[in-house]
Amino acid sequence: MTQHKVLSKQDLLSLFEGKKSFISDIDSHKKALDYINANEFPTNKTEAWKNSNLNQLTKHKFCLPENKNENEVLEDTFAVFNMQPYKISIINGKYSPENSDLKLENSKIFIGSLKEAKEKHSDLFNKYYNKTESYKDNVFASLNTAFAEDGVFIYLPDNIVLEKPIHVLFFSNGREQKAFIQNRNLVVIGNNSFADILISYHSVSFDSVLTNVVSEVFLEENSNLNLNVFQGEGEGTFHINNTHFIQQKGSNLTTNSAIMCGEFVRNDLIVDLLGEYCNTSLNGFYLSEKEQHFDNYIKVNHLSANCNSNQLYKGILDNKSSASFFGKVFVARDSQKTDANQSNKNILLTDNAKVFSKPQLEIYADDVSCSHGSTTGQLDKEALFYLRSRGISERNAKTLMLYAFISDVINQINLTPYKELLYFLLNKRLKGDKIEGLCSIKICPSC
Amino acid sequence: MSKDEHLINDIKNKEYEAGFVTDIEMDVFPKGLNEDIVRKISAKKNEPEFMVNYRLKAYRYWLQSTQPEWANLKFDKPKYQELSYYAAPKNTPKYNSLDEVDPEILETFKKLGVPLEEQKFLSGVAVDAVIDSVSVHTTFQETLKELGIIFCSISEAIREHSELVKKYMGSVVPYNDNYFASLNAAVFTDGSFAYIPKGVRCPVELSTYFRINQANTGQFERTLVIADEGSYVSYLEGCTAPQRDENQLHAAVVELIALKDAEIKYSTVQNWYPGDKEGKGGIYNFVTKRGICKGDNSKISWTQVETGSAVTWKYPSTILKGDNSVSEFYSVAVTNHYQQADTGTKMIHLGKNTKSTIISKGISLGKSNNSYRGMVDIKKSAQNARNFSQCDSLLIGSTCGAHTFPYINSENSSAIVEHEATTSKIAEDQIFYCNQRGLDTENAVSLIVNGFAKEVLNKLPMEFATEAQKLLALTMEGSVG
Repeated sequence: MTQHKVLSKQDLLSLFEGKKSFISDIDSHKKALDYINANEFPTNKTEAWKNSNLNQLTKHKFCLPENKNENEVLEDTFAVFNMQPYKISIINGKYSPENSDLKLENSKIFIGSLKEAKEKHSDLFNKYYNKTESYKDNVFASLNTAFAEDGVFIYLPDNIVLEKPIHVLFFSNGREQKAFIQNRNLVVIGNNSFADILISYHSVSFDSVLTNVVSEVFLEENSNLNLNVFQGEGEGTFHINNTHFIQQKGSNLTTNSAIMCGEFVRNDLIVDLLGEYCNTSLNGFYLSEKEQHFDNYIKVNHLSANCNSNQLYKGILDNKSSASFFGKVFVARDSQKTDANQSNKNILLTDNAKVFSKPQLEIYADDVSCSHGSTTGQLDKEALFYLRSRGISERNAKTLMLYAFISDVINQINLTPYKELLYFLLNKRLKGDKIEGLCSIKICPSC
Repeated sequence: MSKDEHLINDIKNKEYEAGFVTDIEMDVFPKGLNEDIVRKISAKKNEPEFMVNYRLKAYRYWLQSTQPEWANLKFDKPKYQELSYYAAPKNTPKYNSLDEVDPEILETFKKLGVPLEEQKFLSGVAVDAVIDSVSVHTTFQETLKELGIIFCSISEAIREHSELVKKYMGSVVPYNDNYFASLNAAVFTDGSFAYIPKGVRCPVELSTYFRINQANTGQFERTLVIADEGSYVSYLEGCTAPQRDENQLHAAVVELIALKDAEIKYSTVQNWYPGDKEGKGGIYNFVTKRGICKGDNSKISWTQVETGSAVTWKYPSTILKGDNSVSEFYSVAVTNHYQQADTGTKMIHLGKNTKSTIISKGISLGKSNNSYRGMVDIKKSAQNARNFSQCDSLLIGSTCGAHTFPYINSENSSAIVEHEATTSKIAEDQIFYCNQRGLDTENAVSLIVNGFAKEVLNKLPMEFATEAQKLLALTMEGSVG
């Protein structure tokens, strides 16, 4: 029998020996630790992680990042062209004021470090922090709850429409070491408020890092949030992301996730629709190559009546890469008039690529309309022939069709500068151009 | 109370019509399971050496495995040591004519409408009737013999066609496949065996009726159907069981083997006792059904109508090994009261140009839960494989649940896999449309439900289609949402 190496809990826990919790209070810290002690890291026997093999992680020995150049000012090549956002940067899990640009016109708004917020706005912090209990989702989330040092806190009070988008930049820097980086975020959008947020992950070195992010997002009544997440961490990066949304009555949430980089990316999105008349739209696309593995794990819990939810995930897989999509729509008893849709579409470019698609419906109310669809295949031969018959080369025709395939998802983004950037990157990627920069994508159109 | 509510109550309170107990003397083993019991079953059946070893191997594997818990089902685990693993009607001589058969058995079949007497000639059905595990009577043996078709009980096949059994039994569902399959391999008492020789088209539909008759008797049927090169067979299986208070266990194994150019059409109507309206009693149905399209151009199609059982755990699957092989899965599952069903299929594509189609319709009523769980697995070697799956669920009443759990894996870039599913109740505009044309709401609902299931019912052979429609109507009638 071959010995399967399993990611050892002790190895990662030993990193934190003697460390206390920086953000969580004693109670949350203890609960998270209890969870870690009672549970193991997911293996391929764990249903939710069946197609995502964490064994690669065992090849590396991670350590906590030493923040040598803490005050280093990074080049501004990660800014999105034509976008003047509120900018906040986190480097290796710590807030970096040098790389942030926060001039807020309203003193009630808070955008900044979570650690700082814990001291300055303890009432808000206590009201929302760890209220989603996401540490119960898996050992990574509880590790984060127990030991994360910092992250972003965004608070919009009632009746505020933010005119500028917020750009949150996470940098991982594994320079000379394989760092285990944790980020903890909290976002609260007050009643009738509106925000556009772009979160982007980048690495500033080639080394393997393990990034473990937990975000809690609260949408109060009639609030609106557009959240875009760009995964641009470089090759050799393991990225594990847990995001938990709580939506109150009449709130609207749109998310868009773009995964183009990283060795292993796991994105967990959990949405709890607590109030009636909520709209949720979760979109995403992934372009994988080499031996990358991207996993999207989505749960939408319809806990209240009259809500709509939509999921649209599309992917193109090249070389030996693999992707997994899990989407569950749960409709609780009496969540009548629920309208939920799921769609997952994949194109395999080679016979070595693999796709695992699991769109699921679990429904306990009768007056609902729920559907899901999943397709995996290749480009439509007739459409290809049509383009060829118009004198377009095979290569161009394929590129065009793949571009159109992904455009469906990008088109839903309403943050125009970011949308244009994605189109630019998509085009570049499909044409086979190397995207320069420290192997992560620098988001400036000039590179 | 409105008329609709009356109708709902009527249907909700409907007792199980086939619930009666036949009073036949039984030969029952003591409760419990150990190696001795396994040996005793084998001895009772006069089985050759290799079978005893096979059973013991399965039993030892079963001992160290645990009952799977991944299904979306909630039930008390059967107490395996409290069950008796062998029950056979006493004195089981082979009858040559119907007159010799115990009249009470005949009465039972009459109630169930088994066409054992004159009807058999009219309906053209050869019936291998099984009462609690032992074949009592097999008809049409003569006609089948002329064509070289073997259709007999599995015990007989083990004794008389041991070469075929040795070669194929356990080749599709190995003894260590899963918990229930191991249990079955260790203690199966009877079942059916069919072999269709090369190039023969079986002229009649082969049919077996199963029936659980003894309280506390686990029923472990074993079915093996082999279609040799270029042959065709349509095989039917129907179930109905009497009313019981304690949960009864049914863990059958069905293996289908289609060689080159062969076709097997397997249809089943399952109507085990589902428990009363409080959810008490009822059959546990944990079945492993699997076929293999072994040769090129072979075809296996599964058609099932599931209306019974307290708990159903059943995934008729096909391994598409031969190039150009085809498999189809058509299913209607209706659950009412506290019934739970977790059913679906697995299509494993290995060969080139293989095609599979999955059509699954689930209807939930009362407080029941109905899940579709299906896997489509396209392996790397399956060039140009094609799959289409459609799973629709209909919810009637606000206390039931309908769930869909598809697993779609693709490892080949030339393969196309499509899956779609919808869950909804009967739309008000559909009912309105029917009302507008002069149909009352009740008729409108039954029309819509029939239409919903028609796609699958149409795939059943004539005799079964009528029975299935009757069953469906029985459960559905008057269930105005």
